[in-house]
Amino acid sequence: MTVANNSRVATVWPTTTLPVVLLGALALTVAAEDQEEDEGWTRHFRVGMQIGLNLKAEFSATGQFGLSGHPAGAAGGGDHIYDDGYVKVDQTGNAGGYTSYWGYNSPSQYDPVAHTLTLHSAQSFTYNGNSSGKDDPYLGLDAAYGGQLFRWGQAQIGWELGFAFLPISIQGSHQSPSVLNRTVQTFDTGGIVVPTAPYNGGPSGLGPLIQDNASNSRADTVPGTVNVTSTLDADLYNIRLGPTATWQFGGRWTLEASAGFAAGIVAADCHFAESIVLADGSHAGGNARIGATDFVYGGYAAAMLAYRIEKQGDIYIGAQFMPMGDALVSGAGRQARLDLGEGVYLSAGLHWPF
Amino acid sequence: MNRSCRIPAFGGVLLALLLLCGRVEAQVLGLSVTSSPSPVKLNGFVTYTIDVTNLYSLIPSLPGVVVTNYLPSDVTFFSASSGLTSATILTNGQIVVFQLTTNLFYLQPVELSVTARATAPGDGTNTVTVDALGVAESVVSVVTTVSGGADLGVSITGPPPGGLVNDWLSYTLNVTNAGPDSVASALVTNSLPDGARIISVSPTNQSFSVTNNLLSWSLSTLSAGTNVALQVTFQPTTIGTNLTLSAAIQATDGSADLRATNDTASTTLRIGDFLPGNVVPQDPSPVQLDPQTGLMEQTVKLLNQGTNQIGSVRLFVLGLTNRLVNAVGTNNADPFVVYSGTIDPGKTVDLVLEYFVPSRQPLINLTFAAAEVPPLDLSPPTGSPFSITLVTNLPSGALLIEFPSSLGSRYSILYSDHVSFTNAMTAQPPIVAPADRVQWIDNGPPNTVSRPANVAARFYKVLLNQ
Repeated sequence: MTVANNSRVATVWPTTTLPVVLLGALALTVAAEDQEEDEGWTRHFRVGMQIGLNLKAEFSATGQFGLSGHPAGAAGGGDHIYDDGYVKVDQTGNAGGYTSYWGYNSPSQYDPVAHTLTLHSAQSFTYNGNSSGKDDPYLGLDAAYGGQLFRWGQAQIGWELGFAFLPISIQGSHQSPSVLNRTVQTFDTGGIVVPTAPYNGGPSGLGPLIQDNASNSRADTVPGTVNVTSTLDADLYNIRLGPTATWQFGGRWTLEASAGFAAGIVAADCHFAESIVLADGSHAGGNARIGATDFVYGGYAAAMLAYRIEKQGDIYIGAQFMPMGDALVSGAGRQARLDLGEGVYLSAGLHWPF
Repeated sequence: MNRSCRIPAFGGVLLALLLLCGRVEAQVLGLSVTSSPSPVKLNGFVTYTIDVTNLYSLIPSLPGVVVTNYLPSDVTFFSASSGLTSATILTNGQIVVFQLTTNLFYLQPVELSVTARATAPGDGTNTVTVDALGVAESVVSVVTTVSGGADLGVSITGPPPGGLVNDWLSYTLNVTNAGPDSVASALVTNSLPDGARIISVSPTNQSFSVTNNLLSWSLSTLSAGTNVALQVTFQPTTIGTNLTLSAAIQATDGSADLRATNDTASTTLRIGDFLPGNVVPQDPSPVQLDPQTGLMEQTVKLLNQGTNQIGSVRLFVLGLTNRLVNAVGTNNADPFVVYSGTIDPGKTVDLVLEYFVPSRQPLINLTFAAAEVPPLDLSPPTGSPFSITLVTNLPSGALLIEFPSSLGSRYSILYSDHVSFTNAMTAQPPIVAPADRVQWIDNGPPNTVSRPANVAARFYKVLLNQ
């Protein structure tokens, strides 16, 4: 990325506290003595709050994704938990191949002609979708240290090394068509009168009994809609290095411009909450999480305005344009991309020349 | 009250000295009083300890010292002591007087004590004065709190009426402490009728002792507001109409019981006998699993072999090790169901027994007995009505009703052959919900007096037992 111009970036207070700081500075200014125009400082250090703007994220997923909650197979004697019911081991240990510890959600699951109860467990689903998000501003920390190379009266040429930390959280959501892959198991209810749905049987061994061994087990696919909410949580650590040009005027004011090279590390974690609604109204869902640490780089151009409130003590505000490459988090068909290409950073804080 | 003071023979000189002492009157006699314990429990003892000291060096031997103790109104004098000091002790109601018969020597303290019994709750001030001729009186006092004691009580709930000899009957002793104080220990006793066998006592973590027909529990730390339930199941072995079951409670830590009227409770039991009807069980069917209920079922016939109509019959299952789910009681360790209808001579009635057998395997070689008994009270209990969501006939001729329930809650089924529910009866026994829906089946006796298929109509209500 090409740097636009040579300027020095200053750290500034957070905008939320800036009015308070300025009022305090004004009070100090009234009491302070008139400053000398130049005290001959050759180094400076500043620290302040930073606000990140114009940072975006894109989320996408393509492929087949697994879901938890598999049934325990067709054989009896184990706990089977489905999306729409359960067949579990009662306190008799399912004596005689029967259990009282079963339940189901919908009347559509019971076939009174075949005397069967059908239960479903989603195994995986496929979808292809994407979304984007932009949730600025983000609050962080900015610091810089620099020195002087040349001086002509009130103007200086120098250099500066800066560091910033910015936590970022961006959310995006979308809805996509999906195909759900399910295991479907059928249990023989015999000739009993099946309790009205929804029914949740207890473990005591008393009450209507069904066979605990699925009489039929098969796979099927059903269409549905998946609602995806993606959340990217990232910590951006960046450094910048470049020359500065500084001009002091009016006895108390300092204007600085800088530009140079910027690089960063993004430690990111992305969570996908996926909820599938089927045509028959039943639900399935899952959660997925991917994480990565990525290296990004680019350049920056910055400007800073400082006001001296006392000897070797300034307050400042600044702005940076720091375009850097994208940070990518991906895994198992899901991806999140943090777009840092148009990042703008405002800062405010304290500045000490010495 | 007598008060004496002796003036020595060289009285004038001494009197002058005493007058001189009067200018330092507050410093001649040191006096203090303490009480222990404080607070003191009602009906407990409190001791006031009085220390008297001659502080005046100019009268190193002070004669005629009199100490007077005024007890507060919430205690009653019990005893007094002058310790190692020689003194005449006089009492009059709440006033105790110590007349020292020896002189009070300089800086040699004398210790006296008065013991009293706390007879009323509240704060009381005990005042002590000490006098000697020519010396200003010293007065001290101490306040002692008499704590209020506790209102212990006991009551008996149950057993249900209509018990017969050798039935297992249960009742509960409700032990309470209404405060205001807690009680560190209390003794509960429970007297059973002669010949009664104790079957079980709960809670099992509360130890008890049995001596003849007397049960005893030593309870610890009954806090104010505490309720303790002690449940006893017993088997009366004698028949009678005025058998007494009684209970009593008393504090054993010395606490005062503020109300004696609730310290005892009793109930009169009427233990009946079986009736002479000649009824026998016969033709038990094989035991089979009913998947509709999860129970093993068996039909047993009752035959009236006599010449008179029989009003009500118990059918016992002897030596059963599993649970008879539709049993309404236990007699001599055998569960029984009750047929509440009539059986004409030579006629039979079928009873459906329901067993819970965890193995779901048929029971074999069960034996039975039957006996005519007084009628069972089938009048409806109190409770909140529940809506029935399904009523359906089963192929067997039985009728199934279904209603939403709370797992573990107890319900009663009312039935009547009239839509207005006149003469409604209660199905036996109540149901404990095994799930969030209950399916109850009217199979006829013993749950109801007749099969629904044998009547023109039958109507049902469900009540949540309170």
